[in-house]
Amino acid sequence: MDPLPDETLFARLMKGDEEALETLFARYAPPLYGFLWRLTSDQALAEDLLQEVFIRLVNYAGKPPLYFRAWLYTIARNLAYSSLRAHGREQAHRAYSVAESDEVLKDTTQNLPEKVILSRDNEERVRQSLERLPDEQREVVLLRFYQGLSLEEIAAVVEVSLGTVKSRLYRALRLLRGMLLREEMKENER
Amino acid sequence: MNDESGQKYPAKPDDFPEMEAWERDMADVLKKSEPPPLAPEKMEALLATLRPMVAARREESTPNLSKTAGRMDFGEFIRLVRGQASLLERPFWMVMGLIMAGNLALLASNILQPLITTLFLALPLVGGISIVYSLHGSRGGMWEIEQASPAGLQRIFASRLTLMFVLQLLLALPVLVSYGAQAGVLVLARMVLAWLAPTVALSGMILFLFSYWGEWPSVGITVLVWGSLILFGASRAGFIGFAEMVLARIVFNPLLPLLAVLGLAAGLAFGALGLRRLASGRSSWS
Repeated sequence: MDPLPDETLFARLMKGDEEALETLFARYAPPLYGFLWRLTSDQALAEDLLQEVFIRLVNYAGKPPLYFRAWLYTIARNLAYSSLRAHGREQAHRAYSVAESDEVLKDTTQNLPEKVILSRDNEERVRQSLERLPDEQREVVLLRFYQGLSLEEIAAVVEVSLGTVKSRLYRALRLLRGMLLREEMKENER
Repeated sequence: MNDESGQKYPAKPDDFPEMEAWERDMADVLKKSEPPPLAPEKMEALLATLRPMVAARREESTPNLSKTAGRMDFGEFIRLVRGQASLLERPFWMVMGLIMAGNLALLASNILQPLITTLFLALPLVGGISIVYSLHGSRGGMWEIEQASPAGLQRIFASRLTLMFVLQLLLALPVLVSYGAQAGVLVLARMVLAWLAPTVALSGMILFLFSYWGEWPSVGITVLVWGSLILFGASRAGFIGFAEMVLARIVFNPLLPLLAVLGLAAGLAFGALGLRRLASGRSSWS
């Protein structure tokens, strides 16, 4: 039997169906937590935010959303940014400045090798590189590659056009690639 | 929304025909990074926090059928019944038309008239099956749509049951009028009871069973119960011309008023339980 669509489950949850809650929770708690953790770089904060997202979900009394997943990630994203702002930690992830980004991109096209070869023990390097992406680029990467959202869903979550999402994704991947290649070269030189 | 240009990816997200090798490579690299695991006890604690909130919502949203029924404007209700009638499919109307035509044809025929009692005995079953037919969508994907309709689920159910009751009454009316005209008001009243009580009892039972197990089990069990009762009566009547004998025994049974009251009460109680379950959505998609 096909799994029930999120929208049906949420309609049931709004009527007080605990099974619907458990299914939605099992479906979304782990990926949402991953998203929030990557967005905030803070495990405790990500757990608190996850709780807040689900409390909002359970107590929601408005019109049911047409596209549940995009709506859910919009809540999570907005809560995460509000919380970071409230804690004065908007730059907690040490994003690259424009000049730094430009330098990396220039290197990528001129001086660096073609391919990124990462071993499993280099996950930390990926995480650090992700943290250095500007917010607007990092969030589209997270939503696309870790959460598996469609480009249309991402556009709905971050409230920009589809073209902007594509463009941000492309720039983010180029920048990430540049950062990882530079790190790799430094590693090889040592 | 500002567009910063770029037609890098196709609108369909799950294939990237335009994605270059280095981008695919980067996507693979990214997927190697995993978040720290979320402890199962934390997940369970969070769920435990959420469950009472969901339970509170359930209490808020449990429908009160009597509450909405009292506020219905008659004209609005009739419009709703007409709307529901338009949703019934052509095969249903054809079956109803055939039964009615058979009814009238048997009444008009001197030779076949005894068969009308057989048809009359089957009418409670037709009533029950009609109710299941009228509500079958509410146990499936229609529930959410009906729930969201401005008329309200309770009114929709009430209008459908009213519609089905009126149709059943129309089917029974030729026999009731015909026998009533011949045998007098007292017999007519007892015949009305002999029709109404089993119709309501079987409808309540089938509705209750339907809310748990769906169409086929509920129809099957109800046919079995009513069929067994009729067969039992037929065996005692010696099978030849059994329908008239069974009907006569029902109509002239001294316990008929008491049995009718019990049947009506049981039917209404089971029907209310079934409707409540359907309205709560607990039976849908199961």
